[in-house]
Amino acid sequence: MSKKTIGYIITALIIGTLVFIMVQNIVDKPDPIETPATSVSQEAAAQGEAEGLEQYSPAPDFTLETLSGESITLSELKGKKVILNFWATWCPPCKAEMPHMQEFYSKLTDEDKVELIAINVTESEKLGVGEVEKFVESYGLDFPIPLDMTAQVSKLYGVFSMPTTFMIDTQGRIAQKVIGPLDEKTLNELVDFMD
Amino acid sequence: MPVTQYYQIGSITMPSSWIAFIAAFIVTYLFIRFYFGKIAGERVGNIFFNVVIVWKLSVIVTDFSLVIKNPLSILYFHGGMFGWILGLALAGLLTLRQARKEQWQRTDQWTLLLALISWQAVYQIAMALLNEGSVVVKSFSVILFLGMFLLAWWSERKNINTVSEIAGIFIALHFLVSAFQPGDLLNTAFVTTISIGLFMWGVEKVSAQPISRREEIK
Repeated sequence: MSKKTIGYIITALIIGTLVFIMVQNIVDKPDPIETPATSVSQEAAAQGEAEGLEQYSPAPDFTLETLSGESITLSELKGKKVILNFWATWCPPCKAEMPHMQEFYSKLTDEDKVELIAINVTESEKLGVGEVEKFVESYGLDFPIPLDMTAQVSKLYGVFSMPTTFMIDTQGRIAQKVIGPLDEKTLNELVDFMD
Repeated sequence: MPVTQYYQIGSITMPSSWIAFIAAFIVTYLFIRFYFGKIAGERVGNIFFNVVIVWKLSVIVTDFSLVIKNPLSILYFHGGMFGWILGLALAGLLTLRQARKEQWQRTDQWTLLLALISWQAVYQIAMALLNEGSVVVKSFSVILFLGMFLLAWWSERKNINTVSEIAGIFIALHFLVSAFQPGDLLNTAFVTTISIGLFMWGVEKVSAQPISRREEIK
Protein backbone atom coordinates (compact mmCIF):
# COMPACT_ATOMS: atom_id res chain seq x y z
CA MET A 1 0.00 0.00 0.00
CA SER A 2 1.28 3.42 -0.77
CA LYS A 3 1.35 6.13 1.86
CA LYS A 4 -1.49 7.79 -0.02
CA THR A 5 -3.73 4.71 0.25
CA ILE A 6 -3.02 4.50 3.95
CA GLY A 7 -3.87 8.14 4.33
CA TYR A 8 -7.15 7.56 2.51
CA ILE A 9 -8.05 4.55 4.68
CA ILE A 10 -7.36 6.41 7.91
CA THR A 11 -9.25 9.48 6.75
CA ALA A 12 -12.22 7.37 5.65
CA LEU A 13 -12.34 5.55 8.97
CA ILE A 14 -12.18 8.76 11.00
CA ILE A 15 -14.75 10.56 8.88
CA GLY A 16 -16.96 7.47 9.10
CA THR A 17 -16.70 7.54 12.87
CA LEU A 18 -17.47 11.22 13.14
CA VAL A 19 -20.47 10.90 10.83
CA PHE A 20 -21.71 7.94 12.86
CA ILE A 21 -21.35 9.83 16.15
CA MET A 22 -23.19 12.81 14.66
CA VAL A 23 -26.04 10.68 13.36
CA GLN A 24 -26.24 8.87 16.69
CA ASN A 25 -26.52 12.14 18.58
CA ILE A 26 -29.37 13.26 16.34
CA VAL A 27 -31.23 9.94 16.39
CA ASP A 28 -30.73 9.13 20.06
CA LYS A 29 -33.47 10.97 21.85
CA PRO A 30 -33.61 10.57 25.62
CA ASP A 31 -35.48 7.47 26.72
CA PRO A 32 -39.19 8.16 27.01
CA ILE A 33 -40.38 8.37 30.56
CA GLU A 34 -41.99 5.09 31.47
CA THR A 35 -45.72 5.36 31.43
CA PRO A 36 -47.50 3.78 34.37
CA ALA A 37 -49.19 1.30 32.04
CA THR A 38 -45.94 -0.24 30.85
CA SER A 39 -44.39 -0.41 34.27
CA VAL A 40 -47.44 -2.23 35.62
CA SER A 41 -47.34 -4.76 32.84
CA GLN A 42 -43.61 -5.29 33.37
CA GLU A 43 -44.17 -5.79 37.05
CA ALA A 44 -46.93 -8.24 36.34
CA ALA A 45 -44.67 -10.11 33.96
CA ALA A 46 -41.96 -10.28 36.57
CA GLN A 47 -44.40 -11.51 39.16
CA GLY A 48 -45.63 -14.21 36.84
CA GLU A 49 -42.23 -15.89 36.84
CA ALA A 50 -41.13 -18.08 39.69
CA GLU A 51 -38.51 -16.68 42.02
CA GLY A 52 -35.08 -18.08 41.47
CA LEU A 53 -31.36 -17.42 41.53
CA GLU A 54 -30.63 -17.55 37.81
CA GLN A 55 -29.89 -14.37 35.93
CA TYR A 56 -33.05 -12.32 35.30
CA SER A 57 -35.30 -14.39 37.47
CA PRO A 58 -37.15 -12.49 40.21
CA ALA A 59 -35.06 -12.30 43.36
CA PRO A 60 -36.49 -14.28 46.30
CA ASP A 61 -38.35 -11.98 48.63
CA PHE A 62 -37.56 -11.71 52.32
CA THR A 63 -38.22 -9.57 55.36
CA LEU A 64 -35.53 -9.05 57.97
CA GLU A 65 -34.95 -6.80 60.92
CA THR A 66 -31.94 -4.51 60.68
CA LEU A 67 -29.34 -3.76 63.30
CA SER A 68 -31.07 -0.46 64.04
CA GLY A 69 -34.38 -2.21 64.59
CA GLU A 70 -36.19 -1.41 61.36
CA SER A 71 -37.79 -4.00 59.16
CA ILE A 72 -36.71 -4.38 55.52
CA THR A 73 -38.69 -6.15 52.83
CA LEU A 74 -37.00 -6.61 49.48
CA SER A 75 -40.16 -6.42 47.37
CA GLU A 76 -40.90 -2.96 48.77
CA LEU A 77 -37.75 -1.68 47.06
CA LYS A 78 -38.98 -2.46 43.55
CA GLY A 79 -38.26 0.45 41.24
CA LYS A 80 -34.83 0.89 42.76
CA LYS A 81 -31.61 -0.90 41.97
CA VAL A 82 -30.66 -2.97 44.98
CA ILE A 83 -27.20 -4.14 45.89
CA LEU A 84 -27.70 -7.10 48.18
CA ASN A 85 -24.52 -8.02 49.98
CA PHE A 86 -24.00 -10.98 52.32
CA TRP A 87 -21.20 -10.64 54.85
CA ALA A 88 -19.86 -11.58 58.26
CA THR A 89 -17.44 -9.90 60.65
CA TRP A 90 -15.00 -12.80 60.61
CA CYS A 91 -14.50 -12.86 56.84
CA PRO A 92 -11.33 -11.03 55.71
CA PRO A 93 -12.50 -10.07 52.21
CA CYS A 94 -15.68 -8.63 53.76
CA LYS A 95 -13.50 -6.42 55.93
CA ALA A 96 -11.61 -5.31 52.85
CA GLU A 97 -14.71 -4.38 50.89
CA MET A 98 -16.68 -2.62 53.65
CA PRO A 99 -14.82 0.72 53.39
CA HIS A 100 -15.52 0.64 49.64
CA MET A 101 -19.19 -0.08 50.27
CA GLN A 102 -19.39 2.82 52.72
CA GLU A 103 -17.60 5.14 50.31
CA PHE A 104 -19.98 4.11 47.54
CA TYR A 105 -23.05 4.49 49.76
CA SER A 106 -22.04 7.91 51.04
CA LYS A 107 -22.04 9.24 47.48
CA LEU A 108 -25.54 7.99 46.65
CA THR A 109 -28.38 10.47 46.33
CA ASP A 110 -32.13 9.88 46.12
CA GLU A 111 -31.98 10.52 42.39
CA ASP A 112 -29.69 7.55 41.85
CA LYS A 113 -32.46 5.21 43.04
CA VAL A 114 -29.92 2.77 44.35
CA GLU A 115 -30.21 0.93 47.64
CA LEU A 116 -27.36 -0.86 49.37
CA ILE A 117 -28.34 -3.60 51.79
CA ALA A 118 -25.67 -5.60 53.55
CA ILE A 119 -27.16 -8.66 55.18
CA ASN A 120 -25.08 -9.89 58.07
CA VAL A 121 -25.16 -13.65 58.32
CA THR A 122 -25.62 -13.44 62.09
CA GLU A 123 -26.05 -17.17 62.43
CA SER A 124 -22.34 -17.54 61.65
CA GLU A 125 -21.24 -14.90 64.18
CA LYS A 126 -19.85 -16.73 67.20
CA LEU A 127 -19.89 -13.61 69.37
CA GLY A 128 -23.40 -12.63 68.37
CA VAL A 129 -24.93 -9.28 67.52
CA GLY A 130 -22.53 -7.41 69.81
CA GLU A 131 -19.66 -8.20 67.49
CA VAL A 132 -21.62 -6.92 64.52
CA GLU A 133 -22.37 -3.67 66.34
CA LYS A 134 -18.71 -3.22 67.15
CA PHE A 135 -17.75 -3.87 63.55
CA VAL A 136 -20.31 -1.48 62.12
CA GLU A 137 -19.23 1.22 64.53
CA SER A 138 -15.52 0.84 63.86
CA TYR A 139 -16.05 0.97 60.10
CA GLY A 140 -18.61 3.78 60.39
CA LEU A 141 -21.17 2.02 58.21
CA ASP A 142 -24.49 3.79 57.82
CA PHE A 143 -26.31 1.64 55.27
CA PRO A 144 -29.00 -0.77 56.48
CA ILE A 145 -27.66 -4.02 57.90
CA PRO A 146 -30.37 -6.67 58.22
CA LEU A 147 -29.52 -9.51 60.57
CA ASP A 148 -30.00 -13.01 59.22
CA MET A 149 -30.31 -14.71 62.61
CA THR A 150 -31.21 -18.16 61.31
CA ALA A 151 -29.30 -17.98 58.01
CA GLN A 152 -32.64 -18.55 56.34
CA VAL A 153 -32.18 -15.79 53.76
CA SER A 154 -28.57 -16.82 53.07
CA LYS A 155 -29.80 -20.32 52.33
CA LEU A 156 -32.61 -18.94 50.19
CA TYR A 157 -29.96 -17.13 48.10
CA GLY A 158 -27.62 -20.10 48.06
CA VAL A 159 -24.80 -18.13 49.69
CA PHE A 160 -21.98 -20.48 50.59
CA SER A 161 -18.98 -18.21 50.58
CA MET A 162 -18.73 -14.63 51.69
CA PRO A 163 -18.87 -11.96 50.57
CA THR A 164 -21.47 -12.64 47.92
CA THR A 165 -23.28 -9.76 46.27
CA PHE A 166 -26.45 -9.84 44.22
CA MET A 167 -27.28 -6.97 41.92
CA ILE A 168 -31.04 -6.64 41.70
CA ASP A 169 -32.52 -4.45 38.96
CA THR A 170 -35.44 -2.05 39.16
CA GLN A 171 -37.87 -4.83 38.26
CA GLY A 172 -36.69 -6.95 41.16
CA ARG A 173 -34.76 -9.42 39.02
CA ILE A 174 -31.29 -10.74 39.75
CA ALA A 175 -29.04 -9.03 37.22
CA GLN A 176 -25.74 -10.36 38.47
CA LYS A 177 -24.25 -12.49 41.19
CA VAL A 178 -20.71 -11.71 42.25
CA ILE A 179 -18.71 -13.79 44.69
CA GLY A 180 -15.74 -12.05 46.25
CA PRO A 181 -15.00 -8.52 47.41
CA LEU A 182 -16.04 -5.52 45.34
CA ASP A 183 -14.38 -2.14 45.29
CA GLU A 184 -16.01 1.18 44.59
CA LYS A 185 -15.08 1.18 40.89
CA THR A 186 -16.62 -2.22 40.33
CA LEU A 187 -19.75 -1.32 42.28
CA ASN A 188 -20.23 1.72 40.07
CA GLU A 189 -19.74 -0.32 36.91
CA LEU A 190 -22.16 -2.99 38.08
CA VAL A 191 -24.83 -0.44 38.91
CA ASP A 192 -24.37 1.46 35.64
CA PHE A 193 -24.87 -1.61 33.48
CA MET A 194 -28.05 -2.70 35.21
CA ASP A 195 -31.56 -1.65 34.15
CA MET B 1 -17.86 -4.12 24.27
CA PRO B 2 -18.66 -3.10 27.80
CA VAL B 3 -18.72 -5.83 30.42
CA THR B 4 -22.27 -7.04 31.00
CA GLN B 5 -21.55 -10.57 32.18
CA TYR B 6 -19.58 -11.97 35.09
CA TYR B 7 -18.50 -15.57 35.19
CA GLN B 8 -17.91 -17.79 38.16
CA ILE B 9 -14.66 -19.69 38.01
CA GLY B 10 -14.15 -21.82 41.08
CA SER B 11 -14.88 -19.64 44.08
CA ILE B 12 -14.31 -16.27 42.45
CA THR B 13 -16.33 -14.22 40.02
CA MET B 14 -14.52 -12.72 37.06
CA PRO B 15 -15.74 -10.04 34.70
CA SER B 16 -15.89 -11.21 31.10
CA SER B 17 -13.11 -8.77 30.22
CA TRP B 18 -10.52 -10.69 32.27
CA ILE B 19 -11.45 -13.95 30.62
CA ALA B 20 -11.32 -12.33 27.18
CA PHE B 21 -7.95 -10.73 27.98
CA ILE B 22 -6.41 -13.99 29.13
CA ALA B 23 -7.88 -15.95 26.22
CA ALA B 24 -6.52 -13.35 23.82
CA PHE B 25 -3.10 -13.57 25.41
CA ILE B 26 -3.01 -17.36 25.11
CA VAL B 27 -4.09 -17.34 21.45
CA THR B 28 -1.60 -14.57 20.63
CA TYR B 29 1.23 -16.22 22.48
CA LEU B 30 0.71 -19.54 20.67
CA PHE B 31 0.41 -17.79 17.31
CA ILE B 32 3.62 -15.80 17.80
CA ARG B 33 5.47 -18.71 19.38
CA PHE B 34 4.80 -21.02 16.46
CA TYR B 35 5.11 -18.55 13.60
CA PHE B 36 7.91 -16.32 14.81
CA GLY B 37 9.82 -18.40 17.33
CA LYS B 38 10.71 -18.50 20.97
CA ILE B 39 12.26 -15.06 21.44
CA ALA B 40 9.25 -13.29 19.96
CA GLY B 41 6.96 -15.39 22.15
CA GLU B 42 8.94 -14.41 25.22
CA ARG B 43 8.54 -10.73 24.44
CA VAL B 44 4.77 -11.12 24.30
CA GLY B 45 4.86 -13.02 27.59
CA ASN B 46 6.90 -10.26 29.23
CA ILE B 47 4.49 -7.58 28.13
CA PHE B 48 1.58 -9.57 29.55
CA PHE B 49 3.38 -10.10 32.83
CA ASN B 50 4.45 -6.46 33.25
CA VAL B 51 1.06 -4.99 32.43
CA VAL B 52 -0.81 -7.35 34.73
CA ILE B 53 1.58 -6.93 37.68
CA VAL B 54 1.56 -3.14 37.49
CA TRP B 55 -2.23 -3.02 37.05
CA LYS B 56 -2.74 -5.27 40.05
CA LEU B 57 -0.21 -3.62 42.38
CA SER B 58 -1.15 -0.07 41.42
CA VAL B 59 -4.06 -0.35 43.86
CA ILE B 60 -1.41 0.66 46.42
CA VAL B 61 -1.28 4.03 44.72
CA THR B 62 -4.97 4.46 43.84
CA ASP B 63 -6.36 3.36 47.23
CA PHE B 64 -3.39 4.14 49.43
CA SER B 65 -5.28 4.84 52.67
CA LEU B 66 -7.37 1.69 52.40
CA VAL B 67 -4.36 -0.48 51.61
CA ILE B 68 -2.55 0.86 54.69
CA LYS B 69 -5.53 0.00 56.86
CA ASN B 70 -6.07 -3.35 55.23
CA PRO B 71 -3.02 -4.68 53.36
CA LEU B 72 -5.03 -7.62 52.07
CA SER B 73 -6.70 -5.15 49.72
CA ILE B 74 -3.72 -5.69 47.41
CA LEU B 75 -4.85 -9.25 47.01
CA TYR B 76 -8.48 -8.43 46.36
CA PHE B 77 -8.47 -5.25 44.31
CA HIS B 78 -6.64 -3.68 41.38
CA GLY B 79 -5.77 -0.24 40.09
CA GLY B 80 -8.60 0.09 37.59
CA MET B 81 -8.21 2.24 34.48
CA PHE B 82 -5.41 4.29 36.04
CA GLY B 83 -3.46 1.15 36.94
CA TRP B 84 -4.04 -0.21 33.48
CA ILE B 85 -2.59 2.85 31.78
CA LEU B 86 0.34 2.80 34.22
CA GLY B 87 0.93 -0.84 33.31
CA LEU B 88 0.81 -0.10 29.59
CA ALA B 89 3.22 2.80 29.99
CA LEU B 90 5.69 0.78 32.01
CA ALA B 91 5.57 -2.30 29.79
CA GLY B 92 5.90 0.01 26.78
CA LEU B 93 8.97 1.78 28.15
CA LEU B 94 10.65 -1.50 29.07
CA THR B 95 10.06 -2.87 25.57
CA LEU B 96 11.30 0.36 23.97
CA ARG B 97 14.50 0.09 25.97
CA GLN B 98 14.86 -3.49 24.82
CA ALA B 99 14.25 -2.51 21.20
CA ARG B 100 17.00 0.07 21.34
CA LYS B 101 19.46 -2.14 23.12
CA GLU B 102 18.92 -5.09 20.81
CA GLN B 103 18.76 -2.94 17.66
CA TRP B 104 15.48 -4.43 16.52
CA GLN B 105 15.11 -5.30 12.87
CA ARG B 106 12.05 -5.06 10.70
CA THR B 107 10.79 -8.54 11.62
CA ASP B 108 11.01 -7.75 15.33
CA GLN B 109 8.81 -4.71 14.89
CA TRP B 110 6.31 -6.53 12.73
CA THR B 111 6.09 -9.51 15.03
CA LEU B 112 5.27 -7.21 17.90
CA LEU B 113 2.68 -5.27 15.92
CA LEU B 114 1.00 -8.48 14.76
CA ALA B 115 1.00 -9.77 18.32
CA LEU B 116 -0.65 -6.62 19.68
CA ILE B 117 -3.25 -6.49 16.91
CA SER B 118 -4.03 -10.18 17.34
CA TRP B 119 -4.33 -9.62 21.10
CA GLN B 120 -6.87 -6.85 20.65
CA ALA B 121 -8.73 -8.73 17.89
CA VAL B 122 -9.12 -11.93 19.89
CA TYR B 123 -10.10 -9.89 22.94
CA GLN B 124 -12.84 -8.13 20.98
CA ILE B 125 -14.11 -11.40 19.52
CA ALA B 126 -14.15 -13.04 22.96
CA MET B 127 -15.95 -10.03 24.44
CA ALA B 128 -18.58 -10.26 21.70
CA LEU B 129 -19.11 -13.92 22.55
CA LEU B 130 -19.11 -13.49 26.32
CA ASN B 131 -21.35 -10.45 26.73
CA GLU B 132 -24.87 -9.42 25.91
CA GLY B 133 -25.48 -6.86 23.22
CA SER B 134 -26.90 -6.26 19.78
CA VAL B 135 -25.88 -8.81 17.17
CA VAL B 136 -25.15 -6.04 14.67
CA VAL B 137 -22.62 -4.35 16.95
CA LYS B 138 -21.05 -7.69 17.82
CA SER B 139 -20.65 -8.85 14.20
CA PHE B 140 -19.40 -5.42 13.20
CA SER B 141 -16.68 -5.55 15.86
CA VAL B 142 -15.67 -9.10 14.98
CA ILE B 143 -15.52 -8.48 11.22
CA LEU B 144 -13.57 -5.24 11.47
CA PHE B 145 -11.00 -6.60 13.91
CA LEU B 146 -10.56 -9.79 11.92
CA GLY B 147 -10.12 -7.65 8.81
CA MET B 148 -7.57 -5.52 10.64
CA PHE B 149 -5.58 -8.56 11.64
CA LEU B 150 -5.59 -9.96 8.10
CA LEU B 151 -4.57 -6.58 6.69
CA ALA B 152 -1.66 -6.40 9.12
CA TRP B 153 -0.57 -9.92 8.30
CA TRP B 154 -0.83 -9.26 4.60
CA SER B 155 1.31 -6.12 4.82
CA GLU B 156 3.85 -7.98 6.90
CA ARG B 157 4.20 -10.40 3.98
CA LYS B 158 4.13 -7.63 1.36
CA ASN B 159 7.00 -5.89 3.05
CA ILE B 160 6.19 -2.37 1.88
CA ASN B 161 4.68 -0.50 4.79
CA THR B 162 6.06 0.58 8.11
CA VAL B 163 4.59 -0.58 11.41
CA SER B 164 3.47 2.91 12.35
CA GLU B 165 1.39 3.21 9.18
CA ILE B 166 -0.51 0.02 10.01
CA ALA B 167 -0.76 1.12 13.64
CA GLY B 168 -2.37 4.35 12.40
CA ILE B 169 -5.03 2.38 10.54
CA PHE B 170 -5.49 0.24 13.65
CA ILE B 171 -6.25 3.28 15.83
CA ALA B 172 -8.64 4.77 13.26
CA LEU B 173 -10.44 1.45 12.91
CA HIS B 174 -10.81 1.00 16.64
CA PHE B 175 -12.10 4.56 16.88
CA LEU B 176 -14.90 3.57 14.50
CA VAL B 177 -15.67 0.35 16.39
CA SER B 178 -15.59 2.19 19.71
CA ALA B 179 -18.17 4.68 18.43
CA PHE B 180 -20.47 1.81 17.45
CA GLN B 181 -20.11 -0.13 20.67
CA PRO B 182 -22.22 0.89 23.65
CA GLY B 183 -20.48 2.50 26.61
CA ASP B 184 -17.81 5.18 26.69
CA LEU B 185 -16.05 6.16 23.49
CA LEU B 186 -12.75 6.33 25.33
CA ASN B 187 -12.97 2.90 26.97
CA THR B 188 -10.09 0.83 28.29
CA ALA B 189 -9.77 -1.23 25.11
CA PHE B 190 -9.58 1.85 22.87
CA VAL B 191 -7.12 3.56 25.21
CA THR B 192 -5.02 0.40 24.93
CA THR B 193 -5.07 0.60 21.14
CA ILE B 194 -4.01 4.25 21.21
CA SER B 195 -1.13 3.30 23.50
CA ILE B 196 -0.20 0.46 21.15
CA GLY B 197 -0.10 2.93 18.26
CA LEU B 198 2.15 5.36 20.11
CA PHE B 199 4.31 2.52 21.29
CA MET B 200 4.77 1.05 17.79
CA TRP B 201 5.74 4.47 16.52
CA GLY B 202 8.32 4.64 19.30
CA VAL B 203 9.63 1.17 18.52
CA GLU B 204 10.10 2.19 14.92
CA LYS B 205 12.06 5.28 15.97
CA VAL B 206 14.45 3.49 18.33
CA SER B 207 15.02 0.42 16.15
CA ALA B 208 18.06 -0.24 13.99
CA GLN B 209 17.24 1.86 10.92
CA PRO B 210 14.23 3.40 9.34
CA ILE B 211 12.85 0.90 6.89
CA SER B 212 10.58 3.33 5.14
CA ARG B 213 13.48 4.66 3.08
CA ARG B 214 13.14 2.02 0.41
CA GLU B 215 9.52 2.91 0.04
CA GLU B 216 10.24 6.61 -0.30
CA ILE B 217 12.58 5.94 -3.22
CA LYS B 218 9.75 4.20 -4.95
